[in-house]
Amino acid sequence: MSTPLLQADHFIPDLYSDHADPGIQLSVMPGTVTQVVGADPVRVSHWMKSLAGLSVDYRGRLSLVGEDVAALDKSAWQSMRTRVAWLGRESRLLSVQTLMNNMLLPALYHGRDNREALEARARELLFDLGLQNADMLDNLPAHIDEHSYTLGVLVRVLLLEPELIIMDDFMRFYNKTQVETILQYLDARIQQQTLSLMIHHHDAAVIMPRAQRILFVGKESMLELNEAALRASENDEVKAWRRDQELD
Amino acid sequence: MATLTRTLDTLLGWPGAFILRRLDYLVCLTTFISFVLYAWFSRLRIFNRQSYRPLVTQIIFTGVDAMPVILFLSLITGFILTFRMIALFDSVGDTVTMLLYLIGLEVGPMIAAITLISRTGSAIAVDLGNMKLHREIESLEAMGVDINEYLVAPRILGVAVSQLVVAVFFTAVTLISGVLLSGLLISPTHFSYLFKLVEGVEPMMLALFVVKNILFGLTIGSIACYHGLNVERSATEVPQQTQRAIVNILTTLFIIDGLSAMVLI
Repeated sequence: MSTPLLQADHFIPDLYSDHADPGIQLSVMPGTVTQVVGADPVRVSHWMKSLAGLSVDYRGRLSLVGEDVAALDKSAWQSMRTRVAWLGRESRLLSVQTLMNNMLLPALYHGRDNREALEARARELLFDLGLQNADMLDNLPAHIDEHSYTLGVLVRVLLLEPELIIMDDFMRFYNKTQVETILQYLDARIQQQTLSLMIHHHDAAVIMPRAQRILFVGKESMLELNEAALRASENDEVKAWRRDQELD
Repeated sequence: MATLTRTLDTLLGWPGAFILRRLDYLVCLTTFISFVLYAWFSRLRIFNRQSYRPLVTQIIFTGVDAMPVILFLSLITGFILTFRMIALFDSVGDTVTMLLYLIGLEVGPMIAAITLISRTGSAIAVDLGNMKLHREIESLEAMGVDINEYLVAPRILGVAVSQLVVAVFFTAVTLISGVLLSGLLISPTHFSYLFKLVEGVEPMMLALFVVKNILFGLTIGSIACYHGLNVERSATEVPQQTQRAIVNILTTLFIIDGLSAMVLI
């Protein structure tokens, strides 16, 4: 029986602390896709960031890769962060380093491999993820296009070989083709059970066919559904969200 | 009566509030420096190439790249101070001691520090401030990169090393250029000051020179980093924190300078 990558027991972010809600029970296992949706993107981001262990304000218990987040010391927390990756809307590269140096920085810091091997791996990843032009790898982030920038942020995380990626509308600037290219790459690793994905995308229909589970973030709490249950739900918030997403 | 009471409260309360604010700043700054240096030295990051590289980069930017400016300033100071002091005090008394104390222990470190503040101190505060503002630091921390180890400690230690190197260079060029000028324009006997200056250096003086410059460098680096990282959400905070950093660095340097002067009494 494999250890859940994410285990939340009676978990609720402190944003909701005035409510009597007992919190959610959630387990994310290896090789799964969990989609997170909701009408309010700020609320969705807050939940996802809290589940990623990046917020200290929550009630209940949160375990990531088998470790209680509240009990981690500094070294263990740093190690955990290489296994549970966060890709948010605000994820940025260092403006003073080239694109290549940015991608290699965390992997070199954590001693994943030598520079030459990581560079080769980074180039391979960029190619797999659909980067056509590798000329800007020595440019500063201010001098590269948005597509390359976003791929750079993604590759920076992938070089750490995380087991769980929590992605909050990270691909919002991408068209459907670009999103599909990235998802197909991630699908291969998910099927090998070496990666799990918890993802929120503004166009929910793109992710829905892949998700084994859908978490709906409402005003009061979080509902755990699947695609069929989401489409059939009579909950007013869910219905309003379906109308906005043009799923009805 | 109420107005008088309020006025008295304000007048009497102002010095206390001012002192408390300065004490609070000192405590926060000291805590910040302690955490940073602990993060660096506890894991012996000097042996980690990825952390060692920013340190080397900082030394090159702060020390090596500053050499042309320092050379120019030291030649000018050599003319203004060393040459003039030899001309004025040669007939009066112990010129060598005066030159070493004034140039070596006062002017040299201070001018080197002021040069580093204007070049590096402001650059560090702006650099880190912008990184904080654009959430670049947050993204690194989310991947388990310790900012104190990777970004802050190399800057502080790099500036400390550079301050010492720059001060040595500045002091040497200032003294040598002044002596040479004096020998050429006043009397060839003044060339002997080159040897007298070397002989006149005492161990206590040398130790104070090294400690003072290391302290200056640590002060410049740590206060610049502290204020840069204090930027929160608004772009207007970057110049505000940079300005505060420069003022606080200068104030602290003069305090250290004054305290170090008391050591020699």
